[in-house]
Amino acid sequence: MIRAALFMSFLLSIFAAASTYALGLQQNAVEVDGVIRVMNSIHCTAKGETVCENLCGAKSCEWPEPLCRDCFGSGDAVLRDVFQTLVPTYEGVEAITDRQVVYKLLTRSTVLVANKSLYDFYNGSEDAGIAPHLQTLCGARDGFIAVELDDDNRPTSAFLAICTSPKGIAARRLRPAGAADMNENEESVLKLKLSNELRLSPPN
Amino acid sequence: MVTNATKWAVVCLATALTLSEAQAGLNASSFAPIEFSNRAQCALDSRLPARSVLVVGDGYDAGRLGFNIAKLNAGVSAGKETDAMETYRRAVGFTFTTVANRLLAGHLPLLDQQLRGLLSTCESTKKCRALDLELSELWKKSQDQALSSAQHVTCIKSDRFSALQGHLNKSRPSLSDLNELGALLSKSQPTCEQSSPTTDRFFLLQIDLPSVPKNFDSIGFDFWRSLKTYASWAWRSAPEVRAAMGRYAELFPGLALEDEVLLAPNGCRAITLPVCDLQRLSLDAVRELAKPPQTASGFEAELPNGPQFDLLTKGSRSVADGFLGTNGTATEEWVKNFSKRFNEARWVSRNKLQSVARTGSWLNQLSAATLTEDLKRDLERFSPEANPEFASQLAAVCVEARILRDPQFKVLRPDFESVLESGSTLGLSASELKNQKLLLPRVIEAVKTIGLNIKPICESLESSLFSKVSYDYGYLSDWARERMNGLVSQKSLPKETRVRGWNRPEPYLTLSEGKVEICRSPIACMQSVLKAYVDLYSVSVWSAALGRAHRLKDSNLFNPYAELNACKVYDPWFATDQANAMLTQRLITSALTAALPVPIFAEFESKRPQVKSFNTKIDNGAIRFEPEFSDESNRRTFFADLGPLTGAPCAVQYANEAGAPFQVYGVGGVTLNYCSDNKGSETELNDKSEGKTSAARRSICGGCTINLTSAVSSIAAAAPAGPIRFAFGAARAFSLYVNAQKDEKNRPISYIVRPEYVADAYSENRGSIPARCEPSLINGFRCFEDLCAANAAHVLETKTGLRATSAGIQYEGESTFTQQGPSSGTVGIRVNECDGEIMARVSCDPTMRRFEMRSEFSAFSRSCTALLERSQPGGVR
Repeated sequence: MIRAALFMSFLLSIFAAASTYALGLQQNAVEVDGVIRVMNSIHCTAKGETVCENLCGAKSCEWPEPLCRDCFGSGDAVLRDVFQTLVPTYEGVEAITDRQVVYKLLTRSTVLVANKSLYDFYNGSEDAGIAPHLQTLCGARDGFIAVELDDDNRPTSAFLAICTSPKGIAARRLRPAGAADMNENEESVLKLKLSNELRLSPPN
Repeated sequence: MVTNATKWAVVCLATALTLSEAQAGLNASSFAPIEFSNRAQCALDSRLPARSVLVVGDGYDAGRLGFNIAKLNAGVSAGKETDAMETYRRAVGFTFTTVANRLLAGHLPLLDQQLRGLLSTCESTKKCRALDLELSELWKKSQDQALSSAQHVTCIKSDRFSALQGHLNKSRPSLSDLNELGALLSKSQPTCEQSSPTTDRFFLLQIDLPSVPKNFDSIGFDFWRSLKTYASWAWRSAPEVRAAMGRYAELFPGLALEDEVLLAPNGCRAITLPVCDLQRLSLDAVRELAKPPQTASGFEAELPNGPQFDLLTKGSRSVADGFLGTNGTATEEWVKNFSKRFNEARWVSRNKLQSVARTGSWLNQLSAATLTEDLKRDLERFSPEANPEFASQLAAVCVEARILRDPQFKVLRPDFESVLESGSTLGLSASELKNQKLLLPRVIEAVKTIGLNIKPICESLESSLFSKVSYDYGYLSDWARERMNGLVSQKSLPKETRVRGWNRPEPYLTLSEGKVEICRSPIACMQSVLKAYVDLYSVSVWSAALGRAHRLKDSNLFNPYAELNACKVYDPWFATDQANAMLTQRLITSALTAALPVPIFAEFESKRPQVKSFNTKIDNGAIRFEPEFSDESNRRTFFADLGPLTGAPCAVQYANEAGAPFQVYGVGGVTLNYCSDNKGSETELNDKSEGKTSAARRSICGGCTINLTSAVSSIAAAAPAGPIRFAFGAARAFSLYVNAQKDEKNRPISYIVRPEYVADAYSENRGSIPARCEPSLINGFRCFEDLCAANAAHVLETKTGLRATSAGIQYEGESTFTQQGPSSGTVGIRVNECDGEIMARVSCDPTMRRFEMRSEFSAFSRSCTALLERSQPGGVR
């Protein structure tokens, strides 16, 4: 009961602050104890924004990029689509709020494909990468394509285009071109996921 | 919760295992025996498991990963591509070596029925969690034992094709080859763990099993299958392998090992028992990509015939003659050429699959029936008569649809769809497979609908439009152009223009609110669907070789007779069986015709069976090929000796096909022969097809012999019919039999060289192997003068692990050392560990290379007797 109450208050605080905060999303490589790791982080930069504080107890949330099975190389069809034919393969649907971006990234097993990407085995230059597609989908050349992983940590589909700029982020949901919309009421699904999976255990 | 202490303990354990499992110094006994085989033997060897395997690797992805990391944070990994490639190469070698060592030591079990079931489920459904869990448990159990395990496996990084791969270049080793091997083994070989002075992008590792269980020939294929399964798991999950990956331990497991390396037997033996199915033929066809870039292969074809057709087209070919350029070449160059061609083919294939998937997804919203209706509307709205580009594209689509329908082009043939539908061979992941299963019927159905609907449109256009307007075939797709085989001389338009098609005033199919154009016109959409169908076939044909790999691939790169034998295109015993059968038949015929006034022999010789085509069968999702043989199976020869009639040693012969051997009496000498087909002997071999170009359908030969035989023949002429006549017939039969025995290609012949014996002979003779050593060394024995004694010494070494220092033989009834023909005797062998001779009775026939132990080893000396009692049976060497 106490947990549920805490969780509700946590959700309310996020919803209350939703309209005021701005986020920064980054990916970086670090070497710790002689092993290279890739870390993702969300920085809450605007005054009065509480989501990072609520989730991680700090001004930013940091979590390791999950190991994506068989993703380094040019063999994975999903990543191949992302780098070579993102726009004809996927189409942008509705715009997504910052709050929803945070939910989606933290509640789904996701890898972040950046323009200067860890996963880019396809393009010789950044101009030929995902930058032009990001520009088309969410208005800036910098940012990420979020790709969901299945239970075996293999990519299943790109589901989010996230553009980043000094002002914050702008995101749009993606769906495979020609496919019917899979989640009519995704918000409720997300809420369910939140209640089932996140459960007051923010990444630390 | 994993604590830091636990993590540290895991790292310590892994490091300890890494050190213990790393190889100590290599010596000549670290290598598997080297087998030299001719064509027929190579075909037979393909049914045996390999003991030496090459790992062909390209470190590009590892290097690119290092580069990508540097892009994320230059401080972490700037300029570390070479470091990443080297670490990767070492980790690959370590993975295979560690798994092989544990399997051979018995610390890891071979896959049992349950694990094979899980593996099969994992491959068909792409859900591998249950298998991974089982493997993880087995690995944990093996960890404790592995700390004290002995080395069973050797891994070297090969920088140049050398004497250790000499058997790829010839079927019989010479003295100079032995010297070259001796010289090579006198120096240390670079192990897989060693750092490399050169870049590690393209590498070739050689993994040898110098000592294997006695029953390896029966369990070897299970061994390699188990090794591949464990290695795939270990690459991603084993702590020891993570430790070997160093600073990339959190990254390299994301590289698909199965996609990054190719295993190839170092010789004629195989890693997987060859079967005649599409998967194996596709994998073995990769061999074509190891040839120079200018050599065309089916992989580059837009619409491939399939490896089974290529197998028939090429037929018998050369083997063990360096046909893949392995004679002294730098391995980096060799792997570079292969990887470049292989990667290009794979890239094209994956792009095709991607394009098919896109076509399939819009076909979900736009049916093929709608497309044809919209085309009809376009014909009414935009007059093709006034629009030559439109007319040209219509002409191209009509031709393409006709090609797909035309049985002569064999595109819409039954096996075509079988190949498409065997989704499991497409090498797709679970989600891809799910999509693909929806996609395939959609594309196939769309092509059929288009083919059906466009036929009346095209027929109508042929009478109303194409006879009036000028058009060309610039819009014809590459696949159709290729299938027309040069009939269309007009050049193709640039690809982008061709794909877009005629410039319809408004685009027909778009995405993202009109921002992205999919097809400019309905007819362009139709062309895309037809191309998707063709692409899907091409991808399916080569999926085992080029598709996404879910298990480590192996290809019989150096032995084309693996698949020729499996598909019954080549029978390695045919020549042997035929020689024996013909000897019997000729002797019987001679006896039967001995009473005739003129010796006449009629012979029926069975021809080597010719496979004319394959029947396709679907078996458990795999596409299997069953050979269909040509009806012509006998050669009929009629031979008459004219000596008795003409008084001269002359004969004539008629055969219903070219190439029948012609011989008067078969005794050597100056012989004047003439054959109408001009085909004296078998065509010299090369890697292309051989001896198939002769147009002669039959042969008529005549000849006279001027030598000792003449005299004999004259006597034969005068001799009365009866036993003497038979003697001449028999002489001819035996002579032809002896000739047949000399067939160095089609009768199995092999030589075996044991590197440690060569190294010992080389060092004992101050850096040069004497000629007297050659016979015993190329038969797999130590350098002892008598082959029978050398053979017995080898048996003693294998059984006891002792080393023979001398070996001699006393033949029964004689005292000579070297014997020809079958004989028996007693061998005496000396070893350093005791002061007397170890003896055994043997019988052998060095000419026929037969050897038999007729007693156990024994000794008069007490020390030798005690030594023999202490010695335990060892492994096979």
